[in-house]
Amino acid sequence: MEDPFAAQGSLGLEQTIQGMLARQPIDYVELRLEVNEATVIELAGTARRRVDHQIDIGGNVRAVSGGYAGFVHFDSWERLEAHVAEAVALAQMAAAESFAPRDAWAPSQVIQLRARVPYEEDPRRVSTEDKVALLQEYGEFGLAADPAIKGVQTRYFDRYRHLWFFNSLGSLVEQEKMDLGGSVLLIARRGGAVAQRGVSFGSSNDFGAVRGLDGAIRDAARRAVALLDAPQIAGGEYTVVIDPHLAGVFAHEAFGHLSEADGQVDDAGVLAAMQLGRRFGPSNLHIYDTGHDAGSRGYLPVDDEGVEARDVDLIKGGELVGRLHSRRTAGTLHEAPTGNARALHYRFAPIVRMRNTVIAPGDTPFEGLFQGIRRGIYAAGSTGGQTNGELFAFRAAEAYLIEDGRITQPLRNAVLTGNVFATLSHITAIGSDFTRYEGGGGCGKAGQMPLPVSHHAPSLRIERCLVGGVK
Amino acid sequence: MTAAGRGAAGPPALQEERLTLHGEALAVDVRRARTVARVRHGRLEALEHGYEQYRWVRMVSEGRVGSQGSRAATWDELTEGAREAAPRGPLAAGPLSDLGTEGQGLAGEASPPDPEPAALARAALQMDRALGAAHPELAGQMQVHWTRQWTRMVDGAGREREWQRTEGGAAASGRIVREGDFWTVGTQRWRSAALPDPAALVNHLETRLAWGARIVPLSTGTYPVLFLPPVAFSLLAPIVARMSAPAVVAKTSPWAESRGSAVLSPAFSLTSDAAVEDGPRSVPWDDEGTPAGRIPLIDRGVLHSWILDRLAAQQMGIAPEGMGFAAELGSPPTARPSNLVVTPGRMTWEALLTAFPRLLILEGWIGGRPVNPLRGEMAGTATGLYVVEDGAVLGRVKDAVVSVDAFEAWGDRLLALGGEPQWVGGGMMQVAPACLPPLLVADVPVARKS
Repeated sequence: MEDPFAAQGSLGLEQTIQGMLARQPIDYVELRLEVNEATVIELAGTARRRVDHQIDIGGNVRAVSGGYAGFVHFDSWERLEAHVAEAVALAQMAAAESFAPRDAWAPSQVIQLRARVPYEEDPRRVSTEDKVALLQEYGEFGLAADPAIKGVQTRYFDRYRHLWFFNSLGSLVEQEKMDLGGSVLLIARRGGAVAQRGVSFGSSNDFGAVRGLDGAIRDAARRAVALLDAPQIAGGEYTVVIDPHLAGVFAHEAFGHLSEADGQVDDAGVLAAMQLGRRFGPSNLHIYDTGHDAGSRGYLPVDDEGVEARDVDLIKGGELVGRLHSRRTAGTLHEAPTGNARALHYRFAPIVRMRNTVIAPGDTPFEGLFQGIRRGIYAAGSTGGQTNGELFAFRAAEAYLIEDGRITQPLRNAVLTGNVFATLSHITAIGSDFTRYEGGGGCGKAGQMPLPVSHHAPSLRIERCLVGGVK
Repeated sequence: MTAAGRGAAGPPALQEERLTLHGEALAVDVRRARTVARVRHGRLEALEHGYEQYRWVRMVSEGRVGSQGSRAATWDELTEGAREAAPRGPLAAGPLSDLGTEGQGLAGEASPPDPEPAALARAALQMDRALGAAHPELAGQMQVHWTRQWTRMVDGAGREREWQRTEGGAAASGRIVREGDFWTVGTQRWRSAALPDPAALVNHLETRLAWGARIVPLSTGTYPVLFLPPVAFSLLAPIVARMSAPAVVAKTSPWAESRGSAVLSPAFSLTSDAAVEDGPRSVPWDDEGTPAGRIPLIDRGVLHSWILDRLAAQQMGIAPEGMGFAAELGSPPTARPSNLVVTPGRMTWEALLTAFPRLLILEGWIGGRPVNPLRGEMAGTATGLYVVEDGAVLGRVKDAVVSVDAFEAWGDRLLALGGEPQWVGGGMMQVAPACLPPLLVADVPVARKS
């Protein structure tokens, strides 16, 4: 299918659209048009379960009246003027149904730019057949890795988005985005015992992230088989050492979501808890969010409100120094937008989301993190996590008992939990082993999932972490 | 296909195109209109309206199955794409669909009219104001939505079926933050042909706010725990994982050879029910064109049926049972039940609360998903854990982790099922909506922070 925007000639259509938006009898209106192209491959062993290639065309309109928004999304690019009119009507209806005026949205600079993907290896230049063949090799390799490996499930996706953003202020952003990722899941079974371990990959510009995974698959197979006989973890409080992957999930789940300002505005209790300047952790703790890390899945030079990315320090020197904003939340809190308004695709309005959330490296060597731990847990990798603001929980993909400063045996079913505020203050060492982990999962919020995000971090040592367990 | 328009209740006007199918083939056209009102922290945040259309074609070409779907492509492009995809697809193992020979399908003549967007906004604001008046510190989030979806299917023999369904849904939640204590409550409701009663959601939250007004101590230990439907639902995930393709096909499921065997408590029966009232997936056909009915999955503890999509069933030599559903509009059907229905027990709410002198109620937790879906061990941080003594709720517990093995909870440790089921589900990572009662489980470990 041809790109209809290109076919119509971009300049003429841009002027027409901007003229249409400028004529609307409302405070503000924006239009986003998208052409999305996705390839999804799923294999069971070497057998194809799903090989899809799909192109979607659609868009949305968001209009604002008195701080209240009307939002309309649509498939195809027919009837744009009608969609704009409907969004305007919904915004005016929302304003009429409400009692109080809202704070004005923070102003955004008028920008006109094009953002292209800085490709290393463009996945669209790799044929579907070559992608399938590579994944089939991994399936074969995984099944042959150990007799106890009974199943290999392989998942791959690449999603290319070509977006045009217009607003009634005169901004025009033409932006390309690439997101690719996936996993190779190895399932070991011996009688009634089942265990699994996976290899995950992701990138925003390089199909090379999918290549050369043999060693990682072999290692994952070995770990899955080892977990078959692992005893169940005993619940209770432990000193834990978490690897860079899990530390990144911790930064994202335990603190990053709390820093999203849409969870703070109009909530005096949260604003008091998140008062800038509050001490949150040790003096060498530095957590920030960035959209500038090309190649990471959180790379986002311009957000979905047409705001250019800013790096945002969240904790620096152990103190809370910033938060993540959309134009709406920035306006309410009288701060500057940060470029964190993101939408999964055109069927959603942008909301405040993280990009690449980073814990800066410390100076403790990996071995030093274990010093003096009589009985603790070393947790590595993650199968997901969740937070409600105050509390968090994340599932470690692997866990090991630490006895007298040494890793002694694998354990299964480690769920690390705690209070965000207390746990940050219980970080007692930050590793020097900073790692740029890029996985194939994503972040979920308000029904928008999986949004591509990244988290880069070193290992951490945390005291008094509550770990769930059936025993 | 016939013309799309059905007057006021018809799908959004989209250009109709010619569709010609031959041989073993199925075409599906789904259109959806959805309106949402969102209220956040006392203010109407947005009114949203969306139109979506997704069409896909599945066909057999030279013995293999190819499919192609899109929100934008023409029928000709989809048909050609499916034909081109077939050499890469799985081997065909039987007919691609079963649209029947009778004149079936729900044309939607009795369908209710769509409410105005302003009505949704008022319902959301009504909930927010009712809660805010009684609890000024509560930062509420209310959402009310109305969805209408039209589905049409046509096969290569020219059989055509179409139906539509509506859904009204409401969700209410709130948070009170005091000195680092984030106290969160929430609930959701939906109905198939009307908006839920806002007062029901407000009453639910009022009850939880009363239950949790006091923080009470609790020691680490094991307790009888009453899992309310939102949490009990997460305990179904490992059960479904063990019964579903591809774990059954690949025999990575420990139940891969257990069909006809007792696997869980005789008090537990689970059905995939596409005919239940108000079910979000109550439909005459699944998304693959297979009649979807009431399929017992586990009958009094005995494994009765697998959860297989059409192709997996045919590969295993089993007649497809209508359990091929798409996770969301725009994704292909995979093995999923329609509506999961757990047969309720007989115990009243009062009887459950007085079953032990002291027990816990768990209605909310975070992280409560299995590390390994085929192994039922789960642990989650409690966000809605309440202590009950002599039938009275004393207060809520903080900083606690509840650990449970789902197969034990639905097996040897299942003490009783309540008699009042509730719909839950519809979230981002859930395999199917479910209607299930509370379940009382013995000896559940609860770890507290010292």
